[in-house]
Parts: sequence; structure tokens; C-alpha cells
Amino acid sequence: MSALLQASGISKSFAGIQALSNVDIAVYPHQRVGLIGPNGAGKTTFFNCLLGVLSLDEGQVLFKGEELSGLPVSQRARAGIGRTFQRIELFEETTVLEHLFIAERIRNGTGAFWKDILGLGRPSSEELERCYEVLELLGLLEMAQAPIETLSLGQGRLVEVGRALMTEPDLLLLDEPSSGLGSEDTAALANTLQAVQAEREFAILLVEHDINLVAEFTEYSYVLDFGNMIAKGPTKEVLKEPAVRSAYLGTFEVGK
Amino acid sequence: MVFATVAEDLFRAILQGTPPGTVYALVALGFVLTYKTSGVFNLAFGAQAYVSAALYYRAVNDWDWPTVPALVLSVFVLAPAIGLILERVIFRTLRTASAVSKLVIAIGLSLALPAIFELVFSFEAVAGRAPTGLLPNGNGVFYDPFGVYPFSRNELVQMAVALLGALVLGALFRFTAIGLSMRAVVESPRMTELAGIRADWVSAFAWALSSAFAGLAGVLIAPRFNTLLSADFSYLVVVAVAAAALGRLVSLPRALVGGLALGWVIAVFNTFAPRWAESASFLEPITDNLTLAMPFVVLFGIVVLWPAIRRAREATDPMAGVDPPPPTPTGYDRHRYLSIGLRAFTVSFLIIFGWVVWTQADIRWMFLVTQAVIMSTIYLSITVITGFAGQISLCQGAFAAIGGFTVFQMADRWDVSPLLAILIGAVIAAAVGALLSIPVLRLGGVWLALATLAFAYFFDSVMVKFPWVGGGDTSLLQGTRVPRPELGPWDFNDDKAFLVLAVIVLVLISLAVIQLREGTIGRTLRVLRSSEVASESIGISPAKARIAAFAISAFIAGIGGAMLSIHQENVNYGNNFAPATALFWLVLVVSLSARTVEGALQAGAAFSLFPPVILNGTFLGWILRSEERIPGLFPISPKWRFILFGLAAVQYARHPEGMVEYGKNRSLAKINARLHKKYPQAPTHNSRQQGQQAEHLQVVDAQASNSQDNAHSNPNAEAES
Repeated sequence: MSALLQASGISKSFAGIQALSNVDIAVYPHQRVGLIGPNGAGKTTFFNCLLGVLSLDEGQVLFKGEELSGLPVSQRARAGIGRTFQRIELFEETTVLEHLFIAERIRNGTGAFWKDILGLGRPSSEELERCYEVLELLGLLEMAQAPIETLSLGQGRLVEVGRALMTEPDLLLLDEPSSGLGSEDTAALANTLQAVQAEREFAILLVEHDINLVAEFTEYSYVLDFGNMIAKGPTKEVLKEPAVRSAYLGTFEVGK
Repeated sequence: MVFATVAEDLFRAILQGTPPGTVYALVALGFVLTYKTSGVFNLAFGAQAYVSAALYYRAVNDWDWPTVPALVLSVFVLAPAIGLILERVIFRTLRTASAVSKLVIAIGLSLALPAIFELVFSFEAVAGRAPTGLLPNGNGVFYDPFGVYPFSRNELVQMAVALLGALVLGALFRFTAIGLSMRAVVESPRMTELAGIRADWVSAFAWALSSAFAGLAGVLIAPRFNTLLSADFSYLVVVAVAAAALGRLVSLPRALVGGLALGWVIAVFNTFAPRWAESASFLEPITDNLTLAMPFVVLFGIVVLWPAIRRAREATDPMAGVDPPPPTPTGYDRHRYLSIGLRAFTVSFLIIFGWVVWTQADIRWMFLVTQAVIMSTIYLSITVITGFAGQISLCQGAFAAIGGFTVFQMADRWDVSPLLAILIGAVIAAAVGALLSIPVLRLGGVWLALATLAFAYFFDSVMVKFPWVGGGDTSLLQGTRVPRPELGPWDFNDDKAFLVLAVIVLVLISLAVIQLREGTIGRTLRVLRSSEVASESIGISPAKARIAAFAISAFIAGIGGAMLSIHQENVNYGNNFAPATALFWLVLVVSLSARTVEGALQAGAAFSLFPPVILNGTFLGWILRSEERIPGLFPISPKWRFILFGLAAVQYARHPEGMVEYGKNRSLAKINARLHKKYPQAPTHNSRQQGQQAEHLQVVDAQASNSQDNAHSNPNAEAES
């Protein structure tokens, strides 16, 4: 099976500091992959390189077999990469439903100036139907008309997921979804995500430093430390590796 | 030999450019100081300079004060006092507001301050009485140290005082405790406060200091103008911003160098450009106005081309995250009676108003009402660009003027019907808007506003002078005349017929704008305004959306400008479309309501009807049913509109939906709550609405109150249906 996302030899440095050196990552369809590492490991840099927020010094990113370099962020999104944000990014002064609707409209590309002018730019019942499906999947149906400012952080995260789902992504990048959430909320989020993924069949790349979430949620993991890939493999095994433990916990010797 | 002449000319140009350069540097220093300590992009700096210069002028010329007390009063008392008041009353509470909203406030102040000063000191600019410098006969005595360029006394004083000012500022920063505190506040006000320093007092001090710099620069530069006009001083601000931008707005030494460099560049161009123009006569309008236009060209160039600026993000406080989130706007379930009542009120108001105008209005009132209708059309362009897209465009006047000039040129040269020319003009304006938006796309909010301001001034001082735009020399004599159109049986020379045409155009564009708001483009712009990264993550291309917004906005402005010119049967560029006028438009729309169509209508009415109806006391006269009973207070000076709306714009930071909109929403919410209490909503009404799902996809802020109906914000809606 060919990889959905194949990032190979990614290097990036800022003012002489090597943030990523020669990192390879592959994500296969319908796979749940974790990218972990302590603070400053280069996770966010890698993430931004995938999305096109940062340009690569070296290496290439193939998505569905096609080279992504040079494509702006929005084009990559249209190509099928959805994302959520570590610091939640929602649209102010709108409703939950409108978050999903605008993503749906951009995806189906039926918006046009002349349609707007003639009053044909309003949401069609089909489009709304699709939005409600996703809302139901996420358990947000009751919040559809709620102003976005009235949502809790956990609900906001779900709205971000829903907004990304409306673009029908093949790969969903989750940027530290647990940050700011308590352990219960995190567990609930993980459950919902798992259910949604089972239904919609997309791959997930989870960038996270909450080990528990990664352990529960992902099948395969990559570990970054100081810009270097220090381990990769099935998550359960990776987390047992001494190099990973020392990167996270520091080295100390017990019982001396 | 040739080389020697060129070198001598260059040297002379540099000497010539030094005195203004030092003044620019002074302003740039003050500008950067304010920006660094409070994050305010103080476009009111020119107004502050003007106020000091005018007070100095008044003290010396009218009150016969000696130089020193006049200088002390205007520069060391009035200027810092204004700075302190602005900081204490306005900007201190807005430390965490966005840079764009602070910019809007500063624009409001730049209109209000001169008007307040002129009213308080009953100051009127007198043509021909040139402002005096610090020394007697400053423009008449010359010294020529190098045998190349004679410095006037004024210029020597300018250089000396500016140098002194820069040295004092440098010493202050380097050697004093308050200087150290200021540097700390620049980094992060909150961190500084955690270290036990009162950041707000430090920034108040910085405001007083930088305002004194502005005042000093105003007094020094004033002798260059023949007449003291506040508009001329806005030139000073643009220069300062250009110089400050050279230092990326963060470095004081670089701002100093930037000011000097700008003085030299202008002088060098001024020396050599006419020679280039000899070989290319079509460049003449450019070179003729080069001194005037250079700062704008430089500013535009810096802003657009300099990569450091393109990458520059707004100054953010590292600890801004600790601020509490803004209060939650809550939508409300609008009661059916309220919707009906509002609609009935609006319709009956329009019918009565229209009927009164139609039957009662004399030629003057007809003119004013028509003007209000057309201005509303123009203001809808601001609704699109500022209200929907959240971008501050300061060149809407130029877009409107393009519409006006197109109608003029089309009719003048090719006898094209003005009705057709309106559309052509709007298309040209849209094209210019789209072209202009491309280089500025990557810029952040404040820089974008500056680029548009630079374009507005560039259009004003260069483009208008081209014969194929402004008509050239002939139009100086004849004006830029525009005929009224005729269409079949309708002759729009008749004022009533033309009013009908204006209303039709307004209604069509209003409907289009409402449809845009509810359609894909409006929603795209709205989410883009709120979060660019999130918009990109769902596949929205910010560049395309912004180009569209600029083009649509310019199109509307072009139509409005063309209509205005046809109405007045003359383009009247200076009165109608000059850059300062466009600043007032923005302030007016923003202070009333930038996000709704009715906000644009209110702004149009306010622009043309507020002075004659309210300020002249006419309205009071109608109420008292006799003009003789109008109190002696009236007529109030028309300057009050600058003061009232300029100061109302101060509220933009807290209520970006506009003052009127905010007040209206609040009172409507109260009435609504009372209605709900008295007449509990019948559930059938809600369920009926639920059937139309499209109806309840609404925005929850101000727009909700204007939208068609009321079914939303009901969490149980799904369960019911």
C-alpha cells in the first residue's frame, strides 16, 4: 500500500539553529499516527512545513503521490489536508453551523460572485444537511445555532474538527488537541475522534506531548528530539524505548 | 567638467534637503516613541503639530507675544498636555486593542483636534499671511557657509533645534531612569508592571514627550507653508511614517537617519528629475508635483517592497495572553412583534420622508437629499471593505474620483452618455482597486491602511494633474464639467428625476451588498477577518478574497463618485474626493455602523444633512415653528461635525460595529426582553421557522438584528422540529 503522506529528508533551520534535520515520516490511509517529543523537539516546525506555513530547506513532501512544495496553505487544504489548532482558532461572531457551512461551501466550490448578487449564495438545504450530519457525528447538534463565543474549549476543539471534516480531508492533522483540556475532556475528545474516524475513514497525524493520549489513540508513532528522529515504530513499543523515556523524563538513575 | 557640475548639484541638493530632513527626523522620532510605548499608530500626529504651530502663530502674530513665551506655551505646555490627555483618557484603556482599531481612533482624532483648536481659539487660516519662524525675518536672511547653497535663518534654526531634540532624547534614553523604564515598557507593559514600575505613567510620559516633539516639528516646519492649514500637516505625518518605516517603527536611531535620508532623497529628486523630464514631456505632471508626492511614493515603496515590513507582524505583548477574553456577544431571539414594529417604523419613516421631500423640498433641500443618497452609495463601498473584510482603506476617495473623472472624460472627449460612463468608470475603478490590492496583499492591517493612504495622496498630487485624468489646464479654467444624462423620455436635468435615479442606484447597490453579505463572498470575508490561518486551513485563499473585496469596494465607490459628479455637473475633485475628505468618510461610517447597509445610509444622511439640519438650527426651528425662536447659539460651526464624529470614532475599539448600531442593539434587546415577558412567543411561530433551515443560519452580532427574521439561538430548535 502506498503512503498517503510521505515526507522525506525534511530539514529546516532558523538562523543557524537546526530545528529539523533529515526527518522522514510516512502516514498510510486510515492510519492513526502520532508525532511526539518534548517541548522544542521541532514538532510544530514539522507541522508547519507539512502545511506550507514554512518553506523547506531540504526534503520533499508527497501527498497522494504528488509533490506539495510551492503550494500555498489553502491549496494544500483543498488537496485534502485538514487541520486543527493548538491555540484554538475559531471565527468570531458566528455560529457553530456557520463554521461548518463556509468550509462546505469552499469545498464544493459553488460560490460565485454572480450567484451572490442574484441571491443564490445562501446555504442550500443539501449543504446544510451535510453540515448537520457532521454535527450529529460530533454530538454538537444541539449547539448548531450557538454563538461560537459561548462554547467551552473542548466543544471549540470539536467545532475545529467538524470544520476540518467538512473539507473531506484524507489526512487530518491534530495539533496538540489536549492542550488546555483536563484528562476527562481529553478522553472524551479521543473517543469522539475515534468514532468519527471509523465512520469517515481518513488518516490522522497527531502532534502531541500528552503521552497518554498518544498511547491510547495512535497505532504508530514517531519521536522527535532536538530536530532528530530518535525512534519510530508501533506506539506501544516506541514508548518503551529507553531513548524516548530519557528524552521525556531526562536521565537519572534510580536506587543509587 | 560635467561630473563636477553634477557633484556640485548633488551637494547642493543634500544641503538643501538637510533642514527639512531634520524636521522629518524629529517627527519620526516622536512617532516611533508613541508607537513603541503604546502601540498606537498615531496618524493624529500631524494634527498635533498643526495645533502647536497654529497656537504659536496666534500668540506671536495676534497677541504680540515674544518668541520664547509663545514657544513655551505652544510646544512645552499645549503639546504635552494634548499628549497626556490622549493617553489618559483614550489610549490607556485600549492598550490591548488591535492596532487597526487604534489607527481608526487616531484618524478620528486627526479630524477632531484641529476643529477643537480652531473653535476654542477662534482660529481661521488667513491666506497670504505666512507663518513666522522662531527668528525675525527668518526667510529673508541667508548664510552660505559652503558657497553652494544659502541657508535661511529658519533653516539653521530648524537644524539646530532638531539636533538638540534628538540629543536630548538620546540622553534621556541612555542615562535616565525614565528612559530605561520606557525601553522596558516598549518590550512589554505587563512585564514592566510585574517589576513594580507603573507602565501607564511611563507611557503617559512618552506620550507627553512625543507630542512635544510633534509640536516642535510643527512650529519649525510651519514657515514652509504660505497659509496655516491643517491639511498641509497631514503631509508631515506621511513623511514621518515613511521615515519611521525605514526603521521598521522600532528603532529610534534608524528613524532619525530615515528622516534625514528622506529630506535628501526629496531634494535630490527635486534637483535632477526636471532634467530627466526634459527628454520626456509626458513625465511633466509627475515632476511638477514630485516634492509633494515623493513622501508618498517612498512610503508606498517601503511598505510594499521592503521585505522586513512584509514580514512584520503587529507589535504584540508577550504576555497578551493573560488578558481576559472580550465579553461574549449574545444573540437574542427577536420577538415577532419587534420585527414587525421595526419594519413598520422603517417603511413609514421612508414613506413620510420621501413624501415630504417630493412635495415640499425646494431646490436647496432637493440638492442635499440627493447628495445624501449618493454619499450613501459611496459609503456602501466602505461597508464592503471595512465592515465585511475588516480592512482599513484610506483611498476610497481616489476610487470615487476615478468614477467621476471617467464620466467627465467620456462625455468631454467622446460624447459618451454619462449613464454608460458610470459603468465604465466603476469598472476602471474596480480594476485599479484590484491592481492596487495585489502588492499590498501580504501586508498586515495597519500597513495596508498606510499603503492605501500613500496611494490616495499619490493620486491626489500626481494622477489628478494628468490631462487624461483631471483634464489638465483647460479644466483649471472651465472646471471638470459633467453633463446630466437623458434616457428616452426621462431627462435627468430635472432634479426630481435625478433624485429618482440616485435612489434606484442606491437601492440596487444596497440589495447587492446585502446579498453579498449573506452569500459566499460575504461569509468568506467575515471568516477571513476573524482568523486568517483558520480560513486558509479550509481552503480559502486570502489573496483572492481580498482582491475581490477591493475590486467590489472600488466598483461601488466608482459608481458613487460618478453619480456625485453628474449630480453636481462637475467633478469638483478638491471638494469631493481629496484624501482628507476620504478620511472623514471612514470616520463617519465607522462611528455610525460599518457593518450594516443602514449604517451607510445613516452616514450618508449625516454627511450632507447633519450640518444644515442640526448645526444650523433648522430642525429646532421646525420644532419651535418659527425661525426667529432659534436660540442665538445657532448656527453652530460646521466644524462640530469633525469633532462629534471624530470623537465618536474613539469608540471603534470597543464597539467595532459602530456607536449607533451598538446603542440600537442594546435598546432593541431591552424592548425585546420586555416583549418576550409580556407576550410569550407562540411555539408555532418558531417551529414554522425551523422548516426553513436557511433562515436560521445567521450571524449573531449586529447583523443578526438586521437580518430577515428571528429564528435562531434556540438550542432546542432541533428537538422541536
